[in-house]
Amino acid sequence: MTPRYPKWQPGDPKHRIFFPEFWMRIMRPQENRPLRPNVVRFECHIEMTKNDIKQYLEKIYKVETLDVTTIIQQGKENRHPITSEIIDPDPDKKFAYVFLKNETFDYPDLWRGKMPSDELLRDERRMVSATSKQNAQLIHRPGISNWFR
Amino acid sequence: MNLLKIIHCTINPQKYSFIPVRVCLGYTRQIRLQTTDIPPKENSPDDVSTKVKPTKQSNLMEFFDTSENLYESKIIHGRWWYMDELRLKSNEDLHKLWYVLLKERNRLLTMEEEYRHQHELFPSPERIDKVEESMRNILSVVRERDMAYNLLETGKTGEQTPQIRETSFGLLRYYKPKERIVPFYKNRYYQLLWGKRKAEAWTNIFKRRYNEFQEHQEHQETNRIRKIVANVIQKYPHLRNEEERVMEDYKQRYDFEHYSIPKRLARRPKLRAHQTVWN
Repeated sequence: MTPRYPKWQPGDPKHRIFFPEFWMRIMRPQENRPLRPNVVRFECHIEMTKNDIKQYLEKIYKVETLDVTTIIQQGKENRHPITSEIIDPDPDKKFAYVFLKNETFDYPDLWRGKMPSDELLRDERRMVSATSKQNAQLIHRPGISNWFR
Repeated sequence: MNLLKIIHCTINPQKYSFIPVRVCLGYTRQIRLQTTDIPPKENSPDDVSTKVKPTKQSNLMEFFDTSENLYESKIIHGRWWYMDELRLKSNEDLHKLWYVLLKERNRLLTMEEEYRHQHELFPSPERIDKVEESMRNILSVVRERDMAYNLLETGKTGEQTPQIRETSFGLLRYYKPKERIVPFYKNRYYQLLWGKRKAEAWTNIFKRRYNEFQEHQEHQETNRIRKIVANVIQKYPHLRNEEERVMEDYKQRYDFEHYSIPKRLARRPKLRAHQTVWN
C-alpha cells in the first residue's frame, strides 16, 4: 500500500494523518557496525521521512527520540547470466537509526537458548535410533539365511 | 455476564492480540454485539498513556512477540476482518482497530526478520496478509462513508472524476489529476509526458476509422437487441405497446452499454479500494 498524504490544504492546517499506512520493524545491529546503547536500528517503509519516523514512534509507541538518521540501501539488481538483462530486482530498503532519549535498548534474546528446530532435530534423532534398532533385528544376519530368523 | 468472561479470557495481549474476538469461533455473533457497545479494553491506544509504565520497561518491546508461540511450527489464529463486520463499527472503533492492526503488523514483521536471521521457518506467515487485508478493508469502509457523507452534504462524491485527454496518437485516455506542489507549466516531468501531446494531422484518418469501428460495434449491439425484442413481440403480441420497456429489460439482460468500448481498448483508471483522494 502506498501511503499518500496531501501536499497542501487551503488555510495551512496542522497536518493530520488518521490512518497511517507506514510500517516499521526492529532490526539487529549489523555485525560490522556496533551501535551505542541508546540507538535502535529499524527498517521502515521507503517513503517515510525522518520526521515521519519520529512522530510515528513518539505518538504510537510513546518512545521519546532525540534524532533519526535514515539511509536507503538499493536492492540487488539480479541480472540474467547471458543477456545481462535485469530480471526480478530486489526491492530497495530504508533503514533508520533512532537515537533514544533517556533510554537504552538492547536487542532482546527471545529464544532463551532453545531454537524451534531443536525439537525437530531431537525427533529426527529419535526416529533414526528407533529404525536402527528395528533394522538390527530384521536385517539379514551374516551366516544365517533370510527365511530363518 | 458470560460474554464479558469470554472477552476477558480471550484477552491475553501477547498471545491473542491479533483479532482477539475471533478466537472464540462459537460466540462470534454475541461478541460482535458486545464490542459495538463497549470496545474491548486493549483496542484503545489512549489507555497506553494512562497505564503506569516503569521507566526501564521499553515500549519498544511491543515490536516483539514474547509468548510461547515462538517454538511452534503452526500458530492458530483467526481470520481477517470482513467488510460487513467493519461496517457495523463506529468511526472511533475503526480508528482504534487500525492502530491495533498496525502494531500487530509491525510485530509480525520484526518476528519474520528475527526468524530469518536465525535461519528458521517463520510459522504461519499468512498472518501478515490477513492483517493487511483487514487494513485495506477498513480504508474502503472509510471511503464508502466519506462518499455517502459528501453525497448527503454536497450532492457529489468527493472522488475524482478522471478526465479524458487526447494522446499524441489521437486516442483518448483517462487521466487522473494528481496533487502537485509545482504548477504544470513549470513541472518538467509533466511537460515531458503531456506538454506537446497534441494529436497531429496524420492521426485524423486513424481517428476516423476508429470511430467507424466503434459505431459499427454499437450498431451491431442495437441490432442484436432489436431482433431479440422483435421476436419476443411476435410471440407475445400484447407487448406491442410496451416496446421500450421490453427493450430496456433485454438491454439489462444482455449487458448492453449504449456506448460500449470493447474491453481491450478501454483504459479505465485502476483506482483500488484503498486509494483515497484528497480534494
